[in-house]
Amino acid sequence: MALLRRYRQQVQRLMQRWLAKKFNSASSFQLNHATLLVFPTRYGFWFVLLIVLLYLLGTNYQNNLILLLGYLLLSVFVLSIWFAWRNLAGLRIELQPPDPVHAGESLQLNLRLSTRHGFQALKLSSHNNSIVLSNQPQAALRWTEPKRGHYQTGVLTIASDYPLGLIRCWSYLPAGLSYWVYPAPLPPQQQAHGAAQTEDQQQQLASSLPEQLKNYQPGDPIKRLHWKRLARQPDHPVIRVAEQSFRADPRWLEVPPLHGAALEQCLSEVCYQLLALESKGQPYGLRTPKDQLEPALGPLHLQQCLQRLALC
Amino acid sequence: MLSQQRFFLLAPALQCLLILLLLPAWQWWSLTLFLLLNLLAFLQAMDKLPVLSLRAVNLIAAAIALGFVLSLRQLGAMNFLMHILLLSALLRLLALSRQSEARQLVWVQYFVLGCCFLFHQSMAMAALIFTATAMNLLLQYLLFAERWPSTQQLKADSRFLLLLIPVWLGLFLLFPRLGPLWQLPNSQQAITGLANEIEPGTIEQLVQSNATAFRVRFDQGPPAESERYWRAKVFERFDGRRWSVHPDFHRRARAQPPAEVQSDTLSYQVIAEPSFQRSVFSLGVPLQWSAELEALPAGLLRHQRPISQRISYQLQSSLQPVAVSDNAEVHWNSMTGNHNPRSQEFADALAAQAPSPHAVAEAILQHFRQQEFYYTLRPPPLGRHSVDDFLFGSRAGFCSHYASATALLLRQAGIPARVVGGYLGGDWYPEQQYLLVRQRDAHAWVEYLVDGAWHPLDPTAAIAPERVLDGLDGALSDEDRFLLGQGIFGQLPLLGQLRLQLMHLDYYWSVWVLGFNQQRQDALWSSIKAFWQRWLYPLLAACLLLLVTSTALWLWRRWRRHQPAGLSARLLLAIPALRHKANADSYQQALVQLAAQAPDQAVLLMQINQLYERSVFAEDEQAATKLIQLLKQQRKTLARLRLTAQSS
Repeated sequence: MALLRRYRQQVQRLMQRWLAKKFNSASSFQLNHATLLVFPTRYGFWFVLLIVLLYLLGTNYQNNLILLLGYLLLSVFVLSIWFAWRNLAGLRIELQPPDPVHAGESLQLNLRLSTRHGFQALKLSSHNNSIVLSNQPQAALRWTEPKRGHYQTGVLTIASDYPLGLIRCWSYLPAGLSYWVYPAPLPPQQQAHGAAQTEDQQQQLASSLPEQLKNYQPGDPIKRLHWKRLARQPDHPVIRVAEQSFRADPRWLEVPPLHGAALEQCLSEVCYQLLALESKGQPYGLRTPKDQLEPALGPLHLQQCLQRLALC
Repeated sequence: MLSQQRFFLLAPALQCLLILLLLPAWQWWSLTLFLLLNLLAFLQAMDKLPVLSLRAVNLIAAAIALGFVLSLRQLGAMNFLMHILLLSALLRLLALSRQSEARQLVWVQYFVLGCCFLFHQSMAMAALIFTATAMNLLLQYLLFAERWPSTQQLKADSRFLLLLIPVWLGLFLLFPRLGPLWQLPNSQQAITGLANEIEPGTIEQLVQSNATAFRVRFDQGPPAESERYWRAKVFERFDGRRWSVHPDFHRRARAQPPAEVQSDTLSYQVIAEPSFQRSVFSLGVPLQWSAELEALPAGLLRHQRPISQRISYQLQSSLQPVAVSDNAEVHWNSMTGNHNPRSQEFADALAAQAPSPHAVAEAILQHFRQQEFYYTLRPPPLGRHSVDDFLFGSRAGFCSHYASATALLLRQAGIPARVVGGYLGGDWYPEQQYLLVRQRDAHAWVEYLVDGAWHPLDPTAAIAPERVLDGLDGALSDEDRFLLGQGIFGQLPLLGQLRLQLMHLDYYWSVWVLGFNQQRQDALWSSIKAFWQRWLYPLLAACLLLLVTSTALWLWRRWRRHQPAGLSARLLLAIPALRHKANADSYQQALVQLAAQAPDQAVLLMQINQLYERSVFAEDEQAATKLIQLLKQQRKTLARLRLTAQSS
């Protein structure tokens, strides 16, 4: 079984490479004989078995009518290959890249389908969701992305068992559409980041995240010592706190070089602040560990800031 | 699914149809059970009953299946299979909750539909079963489609749907056929037609049925009416009242094939209706027969197994007496038994007077003719000594009475004789070219042995010659005919006509659809091959010719296009005026002259002249192509130029 699965994966990989070569435009696809695949379904094979059984029955009883029924079903099978193909052939699919959303929100990949004749029972599926369409000119594939980032849509499978479930006609759309998932906005605990967290929270955070600790340096306030841990482990007793140099300038939002949950928390809060400042009409700048954006205002600036956050 | 509602209404309807189609397979109790389950399905479709749980259905299925197994002997293997198949379909529908289960249901129903053809082969029933198949296809469509196709789409698709018919028929006609691969059980049903016994009264009952017994197609015209004696059985045992087939009959040696075959042999195809017996019908002495038949003693044939569906077989017969096969046959057919004493006395008297067996036979017929004997469908009942009662008492009887009495008299006169059962005559339809033999043509006659051959003798012909020549209706009185139900059809000629037409249609159905077998397929293939062989070379030659011509034409054109024709020729072609130049002049001189005569085209002509010179003398290819282009562009202007003859 494992061998079979590996073989299947390899075939799929080859198929995707082949498809990528076939489609040069990544947002608009036309299905035709070069891109549609046709093969009997499992039910189709059962149907063939039925035809064989009818042939045997008719042969053994020398009954022409049973043979006639068998041949009728066989010709239905053969014709359904054509009908299955025709259902999808000529279908043009246009994809619109999903609008950016915040993590946890529903993403929406809009599709526009056009065809000269109708299509039916078309199942469009991505790796995590699927919809069934019949003749709608527009459709949307929805899913949620729990983590921020810059993503690309995977291969979409478009398939149909129409009309009799005997033949599956399908194609892959290797739509490499990129989309943004920004951090989910969270109202900050206090007005500014950094010292915003209470000591308790910091301690809690620190106990779960050892990388938030640093060596004692002369001048570190005693409040920041992780006392509970210090009793067990003497190294890195001080809880790291973000630098607070920006505090003086409220226009600057800063993402300190954090990791893990702390970073996510921080990004969410900064995101919230960005949105709040934008709606208030106050110019704002963003400083991340990698680079910084000068204070400005406007949707383009907001988008750039959010994209920085998504990639942090 | 397109519509659950539609599916759940259509499916019980189809299953109800299936129950009715398989009616011959059911017992009364299983029929009741199935109809009840079907009713439940209908109730479910109308939301009056919840979907049953799989567990409940399994319990019901186990209980009923156990019942079927217990009555396996009563049902027979094939009917048992039908019961199980239909039960599974009915119960599956009652507990249907997923699409995959619905698919299984559709699958099983296809198979049950196929089994329906084991019980019905007539055209009307076939039409009904194919309609049910269409319903099942619709069910399958409902499972996988989301909505009905639009009319526009249907219109576009219907052309391709029509492709179904040639593919279907092509497969039927040309797909290889095989003989039966293994023996399958047949359904158990009451036999029809002649039984293995003849009592006074059995044939009278049989002739009241108007049902078709078999049909015959003759390769070269039908035999005369008086020769259409279809032999099915010989009855050699007589107990004073009842004639029966001898229990050891099948073990006896076969009749010898005739030493010299008379020239007038008959080839014919018999299409027999299911009789659930093995005996088949033949004329005279069969010489050749299809592979599914086997020879029996007394020149009879039988099928490999009981005929449970309409079959057809090919035969060749010689219309001559059957030869005697062995001594046992002679011995059996000479036994008179200890009964009918008065007929024994009568036979002794006849034998004393008549010099030869033929004379005895003739004397018996003479007796029937001269004395007051009657031919009737309703003879009075006879007692233990049936021949005595008939000959010297009632003197009224049907064919079996006369045959029985004649055979016994012959035996008592010392001549081996037996009663033969079969059919006489039939209706010949000259337009449709077939003979229809019905149950009402059932007949009994006698064969007696002279010089090693069994000579047929029909005593009915003596008492009612119309029976032989005109069929049963001609021989019967009006009252008897009314008994046969002829009166009704006499009153409604239109209905009778319609019935007849349907019967003819059914005949063609039998011959072309049911009777299509390997031989016919081979014949079809060979005719296709013959056609192919005849037309292969002409077709090939025509194709070749076409190919060669078109290639040549194409090559020539290509050559013409690419061949840089001489520039002077082009010049001449473009400027016809140059043809009138003086022979001594060169083209350049002529062009200059032309330019002088047509000042408004002088610039063009001088340009042409220059290009021509460059291309001819400097072999400048660019100039040549430019010139050709120019000539083409200015084609019309140049064609209009005229050169007037130089006076100088």
